[in-house]
Order: sequence, then C-alpha cells, then structure tokens
Amino acid sequence: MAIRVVLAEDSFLVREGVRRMLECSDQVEVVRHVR
Amino acid sequence: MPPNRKDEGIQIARHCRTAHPTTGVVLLSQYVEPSYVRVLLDQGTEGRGYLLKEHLADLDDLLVAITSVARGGSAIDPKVVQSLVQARASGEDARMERLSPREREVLALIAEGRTNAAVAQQLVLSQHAVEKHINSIFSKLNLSGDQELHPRVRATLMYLAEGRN
Repeated sequence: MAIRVVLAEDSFLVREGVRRMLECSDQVEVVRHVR
Repeated sequence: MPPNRKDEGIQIARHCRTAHPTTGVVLLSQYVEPSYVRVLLDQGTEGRGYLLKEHLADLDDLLVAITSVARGGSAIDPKVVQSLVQARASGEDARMERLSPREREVLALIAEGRTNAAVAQQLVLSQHAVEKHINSIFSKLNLSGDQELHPRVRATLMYLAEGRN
C-alpha cells in the first residue's frame, strides 16, 4: 500500500517539481498538494 | 517553508504531533538552521524529517526519507546533522546565558508571539525600553538582519530550543 502524501509548499516550482518526482514512484501517492 | 520568513512549517509539525500523532511530517527547507531543527524534534524524533531543498534532486533519497518517517522513524539531512554538532561545539547554546533576567522575560514573551506593545504592557515598561532590551538580546545572541531568518524568529527558536535541553 502506497504512503499517502500531502504536499504543502508555497513555491509553485518546488511544489510541482516534488509532486512530479513523487508521482514517478508507486511507493507514495500524492493525495493533495497545496500552497 | 517558511513563506514569510517565519516558522509555519515547524508550527504545523508541532500541531500534528498533538492533533495527528500518527502522521509523519517531512519538512523541506532551504535553511540549515540548528535551532529550527531542535524545535522540530523537541517532542521526539519519531515520524519527523528535515531535508534540504538543495538535496531534493534524488528521488530515491526522498523516498527513503518519506518511507522512514511514515514508519515512525526519522530522516535528517546530513548537512543539518553536521550543523547541529557544530552549533553545540561552537557554544551557540552558551549565548543564551549572556541574557539578563529581564532580557529573558522579554524573550519569553516574544516567544509567546506577543508584540512589543504587549510585552511592554505585561512587564510595565515603555515600548522604547522593550526595544532597547530586544536590541540587546539580538546583540548578545549575535543575530543580525542580514541572516536568512529574521532575528526575532531566530531568537525565539534559540529560546525554545534551550528550554528543551
């Protein structure tokens, strides 16, 4: 079962970069990404 | 974090420790700030991580950190661990001992989030006197405005970290 991750980051570039990176893995699931 | 040069990330992590104790928190920071990390970990290292954004390029490293924290472990960037060791070795903690009892009272109220006016009212001082105490605190703690974090935030973090030692 994937680890559910909420990503909170004010910088759009960092947030999107980390989100896309994490989405390359099946070990984690980004369930929310917020500013 | 921190979006406003404050410590929202740390505060959220502390809130989660109480409100969502089984939820792990990995802080992604650009700051190598020992006092920050110590406040983050003061309620325990379980389920807590502190990674530097500059080291986020490697997906495997990030996954290892998230997995470890999700399992109740911890993940601290090696550069941050090094800074913690160096800070202790250089006597950063001893700087707090230079503060007078009155300056400690002022700093304690600042750490509670009070404004200068509120500190003045609480201690029955003029605002000018409070400002002089604050300037003295910054001077004794070697905090200046050209550092990454605002001196008021750094002083608060040093005060909170000292209280956990």
